[in-house]
Amino acid sequence: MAQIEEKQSNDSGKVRAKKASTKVDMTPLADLGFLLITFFMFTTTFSKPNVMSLNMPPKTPKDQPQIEREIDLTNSISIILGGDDKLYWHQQDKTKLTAEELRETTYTKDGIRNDILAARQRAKNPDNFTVIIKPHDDSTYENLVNILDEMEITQSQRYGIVDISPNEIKVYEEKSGTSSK
Amino acid sequence: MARVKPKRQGIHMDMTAMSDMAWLLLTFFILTTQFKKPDIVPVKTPSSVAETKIQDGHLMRITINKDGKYYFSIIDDATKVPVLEKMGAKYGISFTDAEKKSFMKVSEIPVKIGALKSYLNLSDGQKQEQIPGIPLDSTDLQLIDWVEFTMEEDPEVKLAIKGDVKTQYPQFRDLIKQLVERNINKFQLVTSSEAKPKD
Repeated sequence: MAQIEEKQSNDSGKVRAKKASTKVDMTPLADLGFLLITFFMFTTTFSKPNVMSLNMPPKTPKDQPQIEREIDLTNSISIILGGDDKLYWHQQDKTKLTAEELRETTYTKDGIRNDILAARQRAKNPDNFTVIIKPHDDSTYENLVNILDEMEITQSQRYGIVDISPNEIKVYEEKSGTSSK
Repeated sequence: MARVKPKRQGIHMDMTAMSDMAWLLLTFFILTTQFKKPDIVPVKTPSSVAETKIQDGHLMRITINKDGKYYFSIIDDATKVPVLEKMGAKYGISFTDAEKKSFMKVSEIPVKIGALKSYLNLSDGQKQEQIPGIPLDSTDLQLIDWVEFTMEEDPEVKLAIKGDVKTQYPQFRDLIKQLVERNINKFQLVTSSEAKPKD
């Protein structure tokens, strides 16, 4: 398809050698280039996954008795992650919790986020406000990540993931209607 | 009557500029591309507003799939073989050079150490079907051994945990508990990104 430019011969009658044009058709070259671009664009990994840091407290040595620190109940909120994406919270002592005081909420914006912020407003000492996350065995990893996400959104600096206590399991099961396995 | 036909002019475009640009872009993509290693375990990560990007090197990863099975991967090529040798030494298995070479290509270790030798000798197609996971319970802590040996080999290494949205919490808790037991307290949870809500 390389085009050939014809030159008008002049009147002098001299036969000139036809000059072949040096123009090369670039179409296939451009085609190939774009094809390869498309390939690399699709295979390249544009978005790297994000990471969320999670630091757990170091284990306490066995010979050293664990110090039960007194937390003012209004300064903390316990969040219980249940099965089937259910979510509960309370501000009671874990051994004295009753079903009436365990409130159900949701993972939505108006749910737990407002509850955390409201509880922080009520706290006597908002600087020490602590969120205690207690995932039940029925909850999923996604639930945990969502709650950790809420920590980030509500800018709760102090939070911990703690094992759920037997009384809380009992109250949770009473409230949600799931029977223990 | 002779009609004067206008001389047809072929449409010729100069393609040089276009092709120049195409090849320039191509060069860029060739140089920046990093081929995704095929994930042998499909995992759908939950989304979060976290903005930190995962780092490229000095990374190991524990994947928990939706059935609660654990897989381990070392991202840095340089640490892979030394860690394999240490694991082999601990569990009394020696690996041949061919097996080490095959190990380099494995993105996620899907079998327990005892079965790793025969796994490495499988063909690529057969490897796809053999993904029982690395066991983790109080009597068998080889997953934690992998983590510890990697940390020995590369002190800067960070541990990423990639869980599926459907992974049950006890699976995650057991893993964290065993890691904390060995004084590994810092984790990075791999998530996909999500827009931060405006307040």
